[in-house]
Amino acid sequence: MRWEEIAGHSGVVSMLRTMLRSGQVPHAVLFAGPSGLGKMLTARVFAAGLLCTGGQGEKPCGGCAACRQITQGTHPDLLELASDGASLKIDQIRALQHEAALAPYHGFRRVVILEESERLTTQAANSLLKVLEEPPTETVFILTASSPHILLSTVVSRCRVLSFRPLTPKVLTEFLAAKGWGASEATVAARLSGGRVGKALALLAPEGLALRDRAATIVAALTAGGPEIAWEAPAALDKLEAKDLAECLSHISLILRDLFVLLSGQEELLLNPDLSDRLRPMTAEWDEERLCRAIAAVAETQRALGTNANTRLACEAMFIKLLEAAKEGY
Amino acid sequence: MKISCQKDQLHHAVQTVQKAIATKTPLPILTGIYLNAQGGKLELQATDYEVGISCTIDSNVEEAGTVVMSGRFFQEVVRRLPGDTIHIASSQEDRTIQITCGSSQFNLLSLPAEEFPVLKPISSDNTLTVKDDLLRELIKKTVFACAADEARPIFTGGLLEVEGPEIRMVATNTHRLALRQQPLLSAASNVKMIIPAKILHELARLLVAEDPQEVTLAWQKNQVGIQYDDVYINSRLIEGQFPDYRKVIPPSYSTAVTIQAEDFLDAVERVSLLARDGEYNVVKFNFKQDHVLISSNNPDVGKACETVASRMDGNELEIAFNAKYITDILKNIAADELVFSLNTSLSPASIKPVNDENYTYIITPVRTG
Repeated sequence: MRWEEIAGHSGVVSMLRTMLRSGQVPHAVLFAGPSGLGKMLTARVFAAGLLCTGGQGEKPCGGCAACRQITQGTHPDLLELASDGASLKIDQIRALQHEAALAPYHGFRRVVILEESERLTTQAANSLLKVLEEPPTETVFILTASSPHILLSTVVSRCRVLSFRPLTPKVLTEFLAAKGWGASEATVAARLSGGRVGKALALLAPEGLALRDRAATIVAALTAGGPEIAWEAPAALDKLEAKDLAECLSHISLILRDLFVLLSGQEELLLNPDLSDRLRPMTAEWDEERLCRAIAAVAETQRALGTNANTRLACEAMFIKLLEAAKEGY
Repeated sequence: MKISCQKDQLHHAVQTVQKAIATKTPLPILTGIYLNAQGGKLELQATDYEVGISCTIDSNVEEAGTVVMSGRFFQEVVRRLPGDTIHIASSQEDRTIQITCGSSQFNLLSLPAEEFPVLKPISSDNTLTVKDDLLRELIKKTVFACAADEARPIFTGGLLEVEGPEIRMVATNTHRLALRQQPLLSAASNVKMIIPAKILHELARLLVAEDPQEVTLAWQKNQVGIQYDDVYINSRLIEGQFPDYRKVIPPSYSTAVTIQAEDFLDAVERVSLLARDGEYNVVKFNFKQDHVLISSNNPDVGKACETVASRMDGNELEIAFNAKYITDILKNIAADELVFSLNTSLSPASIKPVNDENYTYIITPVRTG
């Protein structure tokens, strides 16, 4: 557990380090920003800094008993609450209140991390409010939220809000390269992840690019294959989990965008540079206006699936529009 | 580790520590019981980070060592083993612990012993030694009055207070308050600490030895350690300032009613049968010169009333209480006669055993009509 393990976020990190150095720590902080940016890692390092018992130097030291316990997830004064199923429930907050009433185990401080705090049910959030309003002495709350606007404003207003922003592809590529990934893989992951470390690491995992490759096959089939794709592809996509389907659609959209980029001759902007050899021949089949229509069709489907649309029907409608765009006059 | 010990002793030790085994925890190691064999002794420990209990028994240690194994299964296994002598041996190769007794044999998987947070007895000059029956009396007479609701955590524990020559325990849920005090035989430093009700219940359950014994309490800022016989209990304290309970106790009363405790309890329990559905379990008490009329009225169910003989000194009065708060004290009062002292129908009342100034119970009335 060291500050050096965190990629980017230099502003937030330096603010937290200043808090630790000066000893002026707010009783509640809210880490806001999209998922996969390293909010939980930062929260754990900050918690380690607050609980670290190692000497005079920069905290966390990474070597003392407290730091080791935090790395192993066994520190008795660090409570991590994550959602139980789809939400953070009131029983979990009650258990937290019980714990918070007791003196810290090691006696000097306690840290509570609430992961994805926007998942608090209204009752749980209101219950938490009571502890946040009258925090037990020497207790620091760290809330993380990818959609802080969903949180009760009464909760947000009791926290110091620190915003996490996506990393630039350059910072992320360097971080991944430092972790031992090859330059080309790191570049693809960094660009496709939208600046999210967690996402980039997921893309680099074995099979991490499977959905992207599937999307590439679908895009290729639009121009190369026959009209049967409009029925076959939705049937296959319908079997995916909602999360994977959303990701697959977003890859289709990004690949169409990359075709657009290639058409306008700006290869350095490619998000999928490793696919450039496959994509380049396809550009002959497309023009910019039709690509725009195709991208719009995907966006419309993404919106529909975000509400309550029937997956299969929405995908079929999308493919009909995509085929119309891909094969002029079809 | 390789040991053998008496089954009933091991069973006693497992029963003692089992309340501290964590049930809901993200840390698997806390669901285990820790065994430490050394120099003719076997120590068992369990902790859920809130309370830790250790119990040491005699054993025949062939090979010293430490192991941790699933608390739930170890407890069940020990309870049901046949025979008298239990042999426990650990194997490093397959990380199992072999338990044999008579012709029965169990091999339990072990948990990594080095991860177990071993209890460290509190080394502090703040200590207090009391007789076990005194401590049990303090707890039993008060702990029932604690709040169950975590919303006000300070009231989910009992206040243990040593002040001059007296030791006191106070518990309240803001609607009722129980206070028990006893003179201390030996001098001790003044202290105030709030011990979680869960640990007090557990302590009262464990302090049941037939022979009187000494209990030593040692404390520091955030925790208290309780040592008696072969058992050591370590508990975290509830943080915060306990409100000044003395302000709650009325200095004087205008009416005092003396009643037979047992008759009164039976009558209140009967009458409250019809009140139980109501929100506050309200039972009315009409104190007359020579009797109390106890009544309840539940519009959906019906009415009940009963009279109990009493002696009154003061004015007649009608007042309503939550019946549970009355029956709770009557079950714990352990006296033949009690004095019910009142002022008005909206001010706090007190229930005390006759001729016992050391036990006070204050109850607030319910406003009716």
